[in-house]
Amino acid sequence: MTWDTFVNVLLDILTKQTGLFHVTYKLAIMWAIGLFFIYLAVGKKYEPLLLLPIGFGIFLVNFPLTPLMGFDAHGKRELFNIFYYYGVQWEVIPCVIFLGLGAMTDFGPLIANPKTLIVGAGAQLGVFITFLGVLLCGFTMKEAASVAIIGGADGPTTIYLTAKLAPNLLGANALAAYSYMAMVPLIQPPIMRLLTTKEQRQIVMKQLRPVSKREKIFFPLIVAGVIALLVPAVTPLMGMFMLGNFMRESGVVDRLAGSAQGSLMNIVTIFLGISVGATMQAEKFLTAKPLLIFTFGLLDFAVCTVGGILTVRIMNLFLRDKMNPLIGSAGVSAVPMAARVSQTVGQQENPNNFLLMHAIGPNLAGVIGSASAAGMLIAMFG
Amino acid sequence: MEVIDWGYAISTLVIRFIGIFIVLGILQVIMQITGRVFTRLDVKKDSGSRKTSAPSEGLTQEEAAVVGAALYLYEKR
Repeated sequence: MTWDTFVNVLLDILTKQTGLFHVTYKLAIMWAIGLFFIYLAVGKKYEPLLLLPIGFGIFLVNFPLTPLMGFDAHGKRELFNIFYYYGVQWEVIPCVIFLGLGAMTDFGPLIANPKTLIVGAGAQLGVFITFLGVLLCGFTMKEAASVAIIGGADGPTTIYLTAKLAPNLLGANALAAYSYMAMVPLIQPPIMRLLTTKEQRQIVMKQLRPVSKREKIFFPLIVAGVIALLVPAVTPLMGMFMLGNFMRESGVVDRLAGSAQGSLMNIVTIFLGISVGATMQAEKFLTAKPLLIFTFGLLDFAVCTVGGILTVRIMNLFLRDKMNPLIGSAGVSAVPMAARVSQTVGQQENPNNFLLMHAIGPNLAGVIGSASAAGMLIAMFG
Repeated sequence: MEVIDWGYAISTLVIRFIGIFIVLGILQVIMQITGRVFTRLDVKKDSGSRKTSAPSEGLTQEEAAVVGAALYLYEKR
């Protein structure tokens, strides 16, 4: 073997079988983005369960020649592509996550004060306003719908809708939704103070009535029935949500409820995070659209917060037992972070005011409201 | 580029936003009705069990009535 042959073979290996000569500045930017989200998850503990696998997925999928998101020589999907295709594109993972969420959720505060369902509806204001704003920026109707749902502050719903209507925006939408959900304690308090007076923030609400076991058992059946009848497009999500809750409340399948909210939830969360991260490949992600999505996502969260607070204020005009408008901001969903924010801001005004359980009502109503909004958008464009 | 029918977009959005209020409003009404029904059933069940359990706890009927009235006033306060 001559020296030249040796060098040629070596160069051939380096160029064709390693990524060394394929690194571009775009890939380097994506590594930085991936590492940034890993930092947010690990260093700042912002939504670590999702931002960690998402960040790692972004990091890994943006190395050249990695057999992760494409097809092999025989046309078989590669690893992350399999997770994405069967998990997200087939709409399995968001629905299974909703099953787990249902099994985790105690709807008692919402059942005790059903008025708060209306707050969950009012807090969807941002979804519809953002839709129009996004349309103005040159997005298609389906893309605008998928961006608008970010304000619903519900990760699985955002992913479900985006996978259906605009899969090309999945990574950016999911990241915006989860990032802003983690930043609810920063986004909401200034808006809450701006839209309420000191007296309103000090309103002490009547203690919630106790809710019987029977009511809790009937609740998922009623919600599933009403949603399936009125917004059938979102039945896969809400049906699974209510199935999980029914398993929990019935008390006869504790093992199933435990699995749904434990192991199963953890497994699908890993696959979801990786799949979402893997969709963010440099050539698809590095455009102006993700930047606009992040901008509109923030606006969306703000307007949804405004919608929730204003809804409570309007309701207070007709109610005998006034509600503290601070619980309106919890209508954006983001369970339970938004409810905790209501509690924190309320206690800053009156340390003896405990708003947490009152805020959980609109918080859970927000989940149903955002799923209904998603169902309406799917019915429009799906 | 997709041509956007703004009239359609805005009108359908308004209808659907109102639609969410209607959906959740219907749920609210159903929950309030079922809440009342279940609360009444629970109260009946409770009062039934109190009647039967009072003698076994060694309370006279008058004492049980006083406790019941006190509980009622406490809950109503």
